[in-house]
Amino acid sequence: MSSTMSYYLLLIPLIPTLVFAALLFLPRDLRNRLMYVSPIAMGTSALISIIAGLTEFPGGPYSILRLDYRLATLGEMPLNLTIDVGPLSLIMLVMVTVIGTCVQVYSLSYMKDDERRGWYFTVMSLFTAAMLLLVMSGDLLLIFAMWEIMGLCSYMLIGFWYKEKAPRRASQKAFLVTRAGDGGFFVALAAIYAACGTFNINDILASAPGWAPWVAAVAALGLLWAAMGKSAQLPLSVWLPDAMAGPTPGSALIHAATMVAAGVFMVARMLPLFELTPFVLTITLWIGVATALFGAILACFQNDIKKVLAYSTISQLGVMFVALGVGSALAALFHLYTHAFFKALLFLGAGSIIHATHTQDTRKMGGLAQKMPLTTVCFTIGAFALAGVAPLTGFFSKDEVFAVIKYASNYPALVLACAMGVTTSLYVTKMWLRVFFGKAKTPHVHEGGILELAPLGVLAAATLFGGISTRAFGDYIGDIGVWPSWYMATISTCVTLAGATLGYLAVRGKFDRFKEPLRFVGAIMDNKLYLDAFYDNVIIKPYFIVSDLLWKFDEVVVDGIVNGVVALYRRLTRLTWRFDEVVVDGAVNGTAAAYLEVTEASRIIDESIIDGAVNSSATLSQRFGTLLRKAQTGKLQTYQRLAIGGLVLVLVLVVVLKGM
Amino acid sequence: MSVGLEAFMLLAAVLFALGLYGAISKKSTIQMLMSFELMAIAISINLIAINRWVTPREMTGQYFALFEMALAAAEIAIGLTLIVALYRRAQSEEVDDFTELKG
Repeated sequence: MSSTMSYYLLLIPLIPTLVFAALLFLPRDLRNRLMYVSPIAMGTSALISIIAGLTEFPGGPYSILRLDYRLATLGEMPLNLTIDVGPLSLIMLVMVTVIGTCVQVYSLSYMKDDERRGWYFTVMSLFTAAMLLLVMSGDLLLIFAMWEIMGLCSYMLIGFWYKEKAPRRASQKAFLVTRAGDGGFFVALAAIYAACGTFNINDILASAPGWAPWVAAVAALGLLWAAMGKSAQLPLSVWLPDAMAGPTPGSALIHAATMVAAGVFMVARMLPLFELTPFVLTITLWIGVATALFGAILACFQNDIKKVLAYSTISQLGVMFVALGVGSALAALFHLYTHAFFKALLFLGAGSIIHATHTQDTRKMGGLAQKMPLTTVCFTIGAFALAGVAPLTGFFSKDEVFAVIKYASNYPALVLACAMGVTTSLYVTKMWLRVFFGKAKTPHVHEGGILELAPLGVLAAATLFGGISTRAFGDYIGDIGVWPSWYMATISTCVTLAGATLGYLAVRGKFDRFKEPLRFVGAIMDNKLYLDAFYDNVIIKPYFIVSDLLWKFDEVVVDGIVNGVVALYRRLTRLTWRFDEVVVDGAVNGTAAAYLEVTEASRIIDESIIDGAVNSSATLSQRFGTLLRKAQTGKLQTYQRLAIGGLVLVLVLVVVLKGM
Repeated sequence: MSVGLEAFMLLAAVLFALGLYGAISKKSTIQMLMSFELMAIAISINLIAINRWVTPREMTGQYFALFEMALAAAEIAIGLTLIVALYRRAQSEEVDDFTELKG
C-alpha cells in the first residue's frame, strides 16, 4: 500500500484519449497510416496498469488516488468530478487495457483492408479511454458522462459499415435502447442529488441509510434500469444481437471489456444502495435469472456463430446480475473479469474463423481443427471456459456465483441457474462440434497471421491460468466472499457434462424427431421471444399512429385555422383599401384644393399690399434724395459759406443760450 | 490814446474778416490762398498781443506764433503744389471749373 498519491495512474486513460484527439483531426489517409499508434498507446496503458496492479498487491479496500475537480458551485454546494482509484479500479484497468490491446493488435490484421481503418482505431481509442475513466471515477456524474461517451462509441462502431442497411439500423437501435435505459440514470441522479446533494459515491453510500426508503428505491430502480439497458438485460436486451453488424473485433470490445461491463460495474459500485431496498435487489435477481436462462436458450437456436456468442453474452451478463441480486459484488465482478477475457477470446477467434471460411453460419463450417490448429486450441479454451469446464476461469467464476446463490438459500434461483448451466454447455458443445469437427465444407482455409494469433494466445493464457487467482481476486478488491466448496464444484461439473452430452446428441441429430411437435418453440426462438415484435407493436407502431393522427390534426385543424385567418385578412384588406380610396384620398384631395385657394389669396395680398408698400417707400426716398441733391453744388465756396454759416449759427446759439 | 491790447485785437479782427471774405468770395484759387494767409496772420497777431498783455512773463504766445508761421509756409507750399496740379489737369485755376462733386 503506497502512502502517496499515484498520479501516474492518470496516464492510463489519458494516453488513449490523446491518441483519439490526435487522430480525430487528421485527414483520412494519414489517419489510416498512423493506425499503429493506437495499439501501441493502448499497450503502454496496459503496461502501466499491470505495473500499478502488481505494486498494490495484495490489495484491499482503500484508495490509492483521489482527485477532485470542481466543475461548478451550485449555490453553496460544490459540484465535483472525482477520480477515486482503489484496487477494484486497478483490476478493472488491467482487464480493460489488456483486452483493449489484444483487440486492437488483432484489428491491425482484421481491418487492414478497410478504407476507414484509421477512423475505426480512433473510435476504439475513445471507447477504451471512456471505459478506463469510468472505472476510475469516484462519482456518478463522471460515470454518467463516460457512460454516454461509450453509448456514442458503440453507435459508431456498430454502424461502422454505414453504407449497408443492417449496421445502420442496428446502430440506431443500440443507441435508442441504451438511451431509453439512460432515462433511468437521469431519474436516479435527480433522486440522489435531492437526497444528499452530492454525486460522490462514497458520500452517497455513507448517507444512503438515512434517506427516505422510497427515495433510495427510486434511485436504485433508476440505476438498475440504466444498467439493464447498458448490460442488455431483458427486456432491454434487443440491441445486443443486432449489434453483431459491426466489425467483429469491435464486438469483442463491446461484449467483453467496455460497454456491457459498465452496467454491471456501476451496479456493483452502488450495491450498498440496492441492499437498502431488498425488493429492488429481488428484481435484480429475477431479471438476471430470466436473462441468463433465456439468453442461453436463445443461443441454442442460433446458427450464426456471432449470434450464438451475442446471446451467450446476454446470458452471462444475466449471471452477473444474479450475483448482484443476491448481494455479492465480488462474485459479479469476478465473473465480469473472467468473462471479459474468454468472451474477447471467443469473439476474436470467431473473427479469424469468419475470415477464413467467409461465412458466419456454423452449419456451413466444419473440420477446422485440422486446418487451423492454433485458432482451434485458443477457441476451445474460450468455449470450455464459457461452458464452465475445470480448471478454466469460467469454472471458478460460475461456481462462485452458484455458491453465493446457495449461500443466500435461494433454491429456486439455484435450480434455474443450473438449468442455465446445462443450456450453456449444450449450445457451446453444439457450436464447437459443428465448427471444428466433421468434414470440411469450405476450401482454402488457413490460419490467421501472427497479429491475429498473438492476441488469441495472450487471452487464452489468461483464461487458462486465471483460475489460480480466484482467492487473490477477493482479497485484492477487499471483499471477503463465499468460496465454492467441492460439493458445489461437483454439481457444477455434472451440470456441464449433462449439457455437453445433450449438445453432442443434438449435433448427432438425436433430437430431430422433436422438431415437428415442438415447432412453436422454434418459432418463438426464431423470433427472439417476440421482443422485437413487442417493441414494434407496443412502441413503434403506436408512435407512428400517433404521429399520423397529429399530422391529420395539423392538416385539418391547424391549417384550417391558418387558412381562415388568411381569408379574413384578405377581406379586411379589401375593406381597408376602399376606406382608403374614398375617405382618406377624399380628405387629402380636399385639403390640397383648399390649400391652392389660400395660396392664390395670399398671392394677391402679397402683390397689392406688400409690393405697394415697398414700391411707394422706394419712390418716397427717391423724391427726397432728388431734393437733397440740389444742395450738393460741387462748388468750393458754397461749402465754405455753409460751413461759416453753420459756425456762426452755433456761436449765436451759444450766446443766446448761455447769455454771454 | 495809448496803443493797447484792444488795438491789436481790432487789427487782427479786421485782417481775419478780410481774409474770410476773400476766401469765400474770390474765384481764383491763388487769391483764396492769399486770403487764408491773411486769416493765419490775424491769428498770429492775436497770439502775440494777448501774450504781451495778459501773461508777459511767459513766452508761450511768441513760440506758438513762430510755429504758426512755419506751418503757414508749409501750407502755402502744399496749396500751391495742388493748384499747379489742378491747373495741369483742367487748364484753369478758377474754382468754379471744379464741380465734379456736384450731386
